[in-house]
Amino acid sequence: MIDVENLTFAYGSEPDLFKDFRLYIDKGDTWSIIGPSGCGKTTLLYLLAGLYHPGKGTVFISNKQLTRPRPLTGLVLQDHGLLPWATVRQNVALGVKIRRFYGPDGKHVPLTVSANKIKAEEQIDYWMQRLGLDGLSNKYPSQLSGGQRQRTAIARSLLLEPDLILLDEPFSALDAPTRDDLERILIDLTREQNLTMVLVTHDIDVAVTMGEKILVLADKTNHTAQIVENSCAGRLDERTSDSFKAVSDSLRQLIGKEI
Amino acid sequence: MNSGIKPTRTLIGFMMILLLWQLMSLLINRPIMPSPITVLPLFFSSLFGDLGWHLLASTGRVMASIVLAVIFAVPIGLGLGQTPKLNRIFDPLIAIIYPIPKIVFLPLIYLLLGITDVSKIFLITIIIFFQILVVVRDEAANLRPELILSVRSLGAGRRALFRFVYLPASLPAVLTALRISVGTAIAVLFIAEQSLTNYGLGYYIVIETYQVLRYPEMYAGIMTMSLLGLVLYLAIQQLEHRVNQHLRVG
Repeated sequence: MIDVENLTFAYGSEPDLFKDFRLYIDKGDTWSIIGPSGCGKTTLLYLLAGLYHPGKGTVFISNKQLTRPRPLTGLVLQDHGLLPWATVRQNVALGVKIRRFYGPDGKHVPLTVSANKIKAEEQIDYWMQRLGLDGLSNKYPSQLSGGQRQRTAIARSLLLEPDLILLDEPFSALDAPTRDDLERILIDLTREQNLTMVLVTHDIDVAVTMGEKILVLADKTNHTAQIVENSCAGRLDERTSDSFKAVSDSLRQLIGKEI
Repeated sequence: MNSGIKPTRTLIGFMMILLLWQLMSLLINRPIMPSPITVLPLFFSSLFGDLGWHLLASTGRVMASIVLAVIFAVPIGLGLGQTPKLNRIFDPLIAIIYPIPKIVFLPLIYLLLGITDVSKIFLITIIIFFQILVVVRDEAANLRPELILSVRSLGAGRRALFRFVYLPASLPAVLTALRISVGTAIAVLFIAEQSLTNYGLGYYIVIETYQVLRYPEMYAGIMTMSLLGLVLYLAIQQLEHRVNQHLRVG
């Protein structure tokens, strides 16, 4: 699904964050990316989203070289990226409106997308209901809790039927019950939609709960991908188990070593 | 500014003005201050006569200037706000021109553009243009990068970003700038219309009535120009009220 080949990237004249970096992510896998702040987690996510361009090397997604944001990749950011002047429903529908604006041109919008308005409205209703937003249609983002805003951003992404979803610190500003709730929703949805998911976090618990594979980045130049296999992913009730602790400990050690 | 129009408040304001006016005319008791009882009927009858044509000419000039200023200032402001390099180049120039009272350019504009409607419209356009340019530029520069990235990830290219993000984000600022500058625009129009034209409220008030001592007609003209400013102000305020709905919740 994702193939990062010999990636080199730096901001301006700063030291390289990545040099000849390779990473392969299989279709349907769920990945966490963890590391100290400044290690390039979010940068890597933006590179996978096609929002930043590699200095050298190439990112392939579904065997195609990535040169711009790909219409089938969903992106959910820490601050949700909602339009403050639009209601929840208008925000959820934004992607559909953009698709209608361009029509299926193969560049901004996949060629296979139908322009059926009624079907689109039904889909909006479905995803709003699925993420528990149906009573909030006419509210503005400023009237929502952090969890509700994040649900709106997730609904907006999933409405476009992505095959890959990228999340940057999606739970960082949320209280524990809201976080658990959203984790459960994301785990269910990735399974059900056979989504490939890449989630960036600084929180070891979140990394272990969400990622079948965990990529550990260093706050110096990253050459090789350090990957931890994790069998505890997707099981919220196993957080107190020994294996969960074992994975968490090995991550802690790896990150500690990097610092 | 977010309170919208309160019709009763506006009506009470009108009544108070009429009352003060009537009191002053009683106190002064000379032809230079006719009573509203004389002026109001004259206002209504001449509004459908020659005064109406002058009003139309002035309104046309202001509206044309507003449209032109918006058409040029919004895209340029967005471009500067989103391109820091470009902004750094032009910022000193804008910072110098912005505070200059544009009316001083009147003779220069007459010399360059000739004595036509074009020069009057141009003068008012640059007044509104700089007001809008500066607020749109600052608004576009302050948009959070995460918002832009999120919307780009939904497939938006430059055109869709303009339509779905930049335009709605800067619209409230455009309206505020318009509301603030429309008063200045009409003041400048008043001066510009006093010379080298035969139509417009400035011409009517100064040349056709004031200079020939037709005081009641002069007052009807002043009322008309005041109303033009007031109606434009209230209309823009109403639009602002509508686009700022999200700021009044919570």
